Amino acid sequence: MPEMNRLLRRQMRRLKLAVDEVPSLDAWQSLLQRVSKHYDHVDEDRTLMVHAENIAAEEMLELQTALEMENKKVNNLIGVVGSALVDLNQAIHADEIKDARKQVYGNIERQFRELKIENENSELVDDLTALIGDVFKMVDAAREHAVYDAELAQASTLQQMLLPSSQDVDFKNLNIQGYCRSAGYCGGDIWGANYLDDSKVLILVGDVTGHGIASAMVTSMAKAAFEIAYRKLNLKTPSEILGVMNQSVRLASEGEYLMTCAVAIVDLESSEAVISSAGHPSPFRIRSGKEGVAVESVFCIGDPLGWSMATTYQDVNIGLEHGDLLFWYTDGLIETRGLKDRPIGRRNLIRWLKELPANQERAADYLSDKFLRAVKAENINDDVTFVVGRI
Amino acid sequence: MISQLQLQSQTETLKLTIAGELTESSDLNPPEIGEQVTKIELDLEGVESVNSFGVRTWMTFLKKLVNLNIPIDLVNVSHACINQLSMIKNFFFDCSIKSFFVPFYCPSCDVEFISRQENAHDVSEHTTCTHCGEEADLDEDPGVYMFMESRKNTNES
Repeated sequence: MPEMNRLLRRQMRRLKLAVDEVPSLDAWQSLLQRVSKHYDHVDEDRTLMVHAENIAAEEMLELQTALEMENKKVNNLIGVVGSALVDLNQAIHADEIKDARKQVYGNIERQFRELKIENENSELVDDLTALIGDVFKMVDAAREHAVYDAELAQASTLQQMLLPSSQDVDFKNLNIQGYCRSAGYCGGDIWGANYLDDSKVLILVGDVTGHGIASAMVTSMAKAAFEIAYRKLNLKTPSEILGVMNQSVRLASEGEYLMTCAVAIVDLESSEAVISSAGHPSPFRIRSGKEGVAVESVFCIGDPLGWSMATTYQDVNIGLEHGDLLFWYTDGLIETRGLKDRPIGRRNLIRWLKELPANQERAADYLSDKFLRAVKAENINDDVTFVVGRI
Repeated sequence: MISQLQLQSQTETLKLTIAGELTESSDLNPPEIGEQVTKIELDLEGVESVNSFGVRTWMTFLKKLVNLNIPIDLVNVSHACINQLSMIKNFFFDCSIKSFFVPFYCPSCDVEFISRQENAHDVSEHTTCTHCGEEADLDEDPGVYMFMESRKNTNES
């Protein structure tokens, strides 16, 4: 018996046909009808399958086209970003940042319009615009900082011009050495020494509240008043000179800034000094004798410059001997915190002055070295100035 | 800590305290003062330091109080304030200093401490260290206290 398909065998069983018997006409026709119907189903299935394959192929094609479009848009956007970066670079170096900014935004809008992507990618457009806005803000801030740094540098240069060109100046039998260290670009401390006449030397040490540009401006103005007081007004006493400086500081800063200041006149012939103070730390007179080194405060008080237009100052006379030192300082010297996080204090300053070797010609260097060794660099947040006079 | 002004009590005597660092950020404004107040007592024990801006803040504050024409006593004046007094003529205007603190340093045990005094002429250059019992040194120029005494005499006269 020939091998037969299971479906055909089932059909034959339903029609009660046997493999080894000739069927009746009716049975034979029924069989043929069933086989024909089956072929019809097979044809339908094949047609359906071909149709499905066609649909899938079309969808794939559409998908691929859409993907290619997206790729193209992304490439276009990258192109826009690239152009924007080039424009930004030019804008950063342009003189007129406002015009450059307008041009960059105009280019971006134009490119988006040409690419017709502004609506469907609005979020991306917004992000890109915001990003460029941030870059411009950074550029503006960087420019402002550059201008500020340049102004600070100019102020610093100007302030350096107010200080003596040399830190070691000889006036006949009087040697003056100074040290000035600003906490910032420019500070509020100042010192100076000039001949008042052939036999007298005028010394100035001052400290404006705070440090920075504002303090430096007050310092400049006080220095100008100091110069006018003795050069043009011919004032001959420290108290009178401080009086003029006081009124200038008061008028200029309206009480917002105060300045402590000490002015002294050393008579090179009589070896006497006249000292006046506007709220400044008392200077020391250091004298070496048989019993050792004596460090003595020369008390002289007054209100800081700028406190009141009516303030007057007093002069204190002291005698000097050959070998005596006079020492003026600003409060930064003793208020800066040392290695143990305690202020240097007057005690340590007096100890340094007592230890200063009598034959030490570079007294300012010696003392600045002592100071810098005693403090942490990060603790120096105020200007530090001192002046040593040796007769 | 930036200094703060506190009202302790207000009867016939208005008691105020200031503590902390006197700087440009210090908020020192005199309180409303009742008519019954005949004296102001300002306790300065807690004033730790006075920077250059703080000098202006303080003097502006004290001037407002002085302008009320009520006698002002300064008590427990810290060394930071006494130090300013030795430089600035009107740091305390004509207020009376009733008591103040004097700094000492003990070289034996490397300790700083303070001692309360009522009269500048009682300040000694040495005292007994409160920590080790050895001799401690005055940690300030003695001239400051001589100067205080002369100021007191000037004010009284």
